Amino acid sequence: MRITQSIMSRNLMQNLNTSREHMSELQNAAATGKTLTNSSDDPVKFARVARFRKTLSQYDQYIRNIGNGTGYVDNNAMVMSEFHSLVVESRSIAIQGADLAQSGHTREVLADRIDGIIDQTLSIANSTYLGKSIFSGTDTNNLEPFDYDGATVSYSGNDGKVNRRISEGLDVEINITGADLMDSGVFDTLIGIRDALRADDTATVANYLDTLETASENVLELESNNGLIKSHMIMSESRLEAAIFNIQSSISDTEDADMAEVIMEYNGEELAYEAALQVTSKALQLNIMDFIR
Amino acid sequence: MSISSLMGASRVALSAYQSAIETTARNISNVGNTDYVRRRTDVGALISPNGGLGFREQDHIDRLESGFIQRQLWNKNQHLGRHEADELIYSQIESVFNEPGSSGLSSMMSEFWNSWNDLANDPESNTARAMVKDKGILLSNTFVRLDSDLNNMQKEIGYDLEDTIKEINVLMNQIQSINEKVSTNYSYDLADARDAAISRLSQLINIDVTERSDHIVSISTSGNISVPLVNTSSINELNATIEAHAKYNTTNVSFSEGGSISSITGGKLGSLLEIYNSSIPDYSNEIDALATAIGTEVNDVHQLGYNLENGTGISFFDPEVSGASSLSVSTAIIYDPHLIATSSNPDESGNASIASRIADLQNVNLLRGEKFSDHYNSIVSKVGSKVQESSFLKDSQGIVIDSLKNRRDSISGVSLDEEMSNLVKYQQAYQAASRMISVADELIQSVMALI
Repeated sequence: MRITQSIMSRNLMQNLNTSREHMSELQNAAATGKTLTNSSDDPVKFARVARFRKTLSQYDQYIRNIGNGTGYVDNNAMVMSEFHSLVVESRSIAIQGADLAQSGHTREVLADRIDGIIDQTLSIANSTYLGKSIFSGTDTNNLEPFDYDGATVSYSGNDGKVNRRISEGLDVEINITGADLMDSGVFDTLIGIRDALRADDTATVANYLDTLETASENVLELESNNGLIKSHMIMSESRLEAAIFNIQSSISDTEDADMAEVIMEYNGEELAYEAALQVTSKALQLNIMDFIR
Repeated sequence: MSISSLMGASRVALSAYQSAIETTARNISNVGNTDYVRRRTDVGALISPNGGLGFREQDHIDRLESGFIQRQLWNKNQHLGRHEADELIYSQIESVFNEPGSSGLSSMMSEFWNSWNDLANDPESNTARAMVKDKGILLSNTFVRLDSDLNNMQKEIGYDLEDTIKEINVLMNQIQSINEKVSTNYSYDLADARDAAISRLSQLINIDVTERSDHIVSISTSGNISVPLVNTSSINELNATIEAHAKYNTTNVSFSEGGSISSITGGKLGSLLEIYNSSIPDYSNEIDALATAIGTEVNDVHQLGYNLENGTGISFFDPEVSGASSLSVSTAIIYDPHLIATSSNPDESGNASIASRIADLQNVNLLRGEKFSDHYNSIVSKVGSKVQESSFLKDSQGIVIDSLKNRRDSISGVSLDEEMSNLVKYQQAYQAASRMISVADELIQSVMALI
């Protein structure tokens, strides 16, 4: 082929350009640490990373939901154990009251103590967490769902469940409703025991001991359910954390640049570019004018 | 043979080599001119026994055209022009979407859904409601920005389109006026100027070029539909008219002498027309569909819910949503975020099932069998593929064009090595011829001395 000046300079420019372009790509990869900075770098990988990121953001949200829910459940655990210890205390009072050796005056004192316990259980049942009523179902702005007129306890909340979303399509119910507390029979039993003590009726007090035992077991069951929910959430959390770790490493596998490779490649490209420059300058300097007069 | 004929032959040789040196000088001075086709003086013809009398220099200078290769170049140029424009514009569109990035639509959507989830954790809270409102406003602003960016992009392309059409008309005019001159007075300089204009034209639009033996060219669009653009006497001028539609304009190209827009398939004009008339409206429609779906789906669920004051049937987004530009958080909610509903029943401040259901919308295949985020990602991937594809095609077309140019230059290009050695050769021949004249003169002198 007949080679003219324009062919030579076109080819040289093209080689230099290709080198430059590749070097700029590598520079970009080294500076950002990523090979995928635009969807056009690799549309398929881009779509995959976008899906990963979406999932990641959702999982982060689930972990936030769990953190929020665990606070609530921990508070429930604390409150329920207080509630249970009050029931245990009332049992020892009832045992004393059922003892035939005790005087009517002592029973009166014991009745007063039970009265105090009833007040305490009610204040627990009406307690709040972060300004929301705990045992009122979903009627959380009802700050006194339990009402006590001295003879009966009535409940004005609902039996709605408070949920936390802990993974896609999976909710856990984190609240214990007032209805559950009512059903445990604690309030009725305590009121019954108090009235029997005041009436100095040891037989009835003794009868209530079994009922109180059942009520105590009911409360324990509520407490252990609460514990189960907590462990369920903790398990979900660690599963989510593992999944997040996996997704993050998949994202970085897909979009991160292998630095060692980038730098090696850059060195190679630099060498090629330098060589091209040197050959270019030599070839362009070679000129027939230097050889003919 | 007489001594005087010796003089005559040398005189012819002198003017022949002078002409050759002139041609060489012209070639050398055009070494950097890519449109120039090198010329060569046919010294043999000039010095032939019959050539000495009344020769026209012009008849003995050749223009070394590459014919077939040049036509191939004109034919391939349309692809390069098209892919170059494609790459430039699609990568601009890509940057409008700004993905992956923290201000892109996908992270805005994620944040919006997450804010509903946060509200579901704390349905009694007005802070969480204000957060949902803010994220809703951010989301709608992002949609509006995307929409207006695409709109502006289309406008910009519209200006580019007009300029391109103007340039095509100017070039066609040039070619036609050269055609007129060529018919009476053909010269190589005219041919060079004409070829340069055709080369430029071939990057703007798909053309077929035919050159008749009398050097007049006719040009028509290449491809399935061939519309004549330039012939001996007239040109078929292009004219762009913008047609307004409900949302997006389209451009129609009409021809002064008749023709159809569908004949324009390549070159920069082909690319601009396709992006203006189909790609941008497509992307914009997809974004509109997404905005409309999000707006109506969120509203449908939200209207079922009750807020803390037991209000219900409230729209979160403006119910008139019909596209990206009309997606906005309803004014009532902007002024009073307390109106945001979370509960499925009245009087249940702790009931968050509506907020949860709205947050769940992101996982449901609600838009043509796709999730919102997947639908959006597929739009962005589509643009990305276009950029990747056009950049690849541009590069590979560039290599084809470069190698064609190299092949053309190997025939038509000026080689300094060749010209310099020719110069030396012709100079020596010229010197020798002048020496011949002085020798002949001496011979005559010697003859004269005999007298």
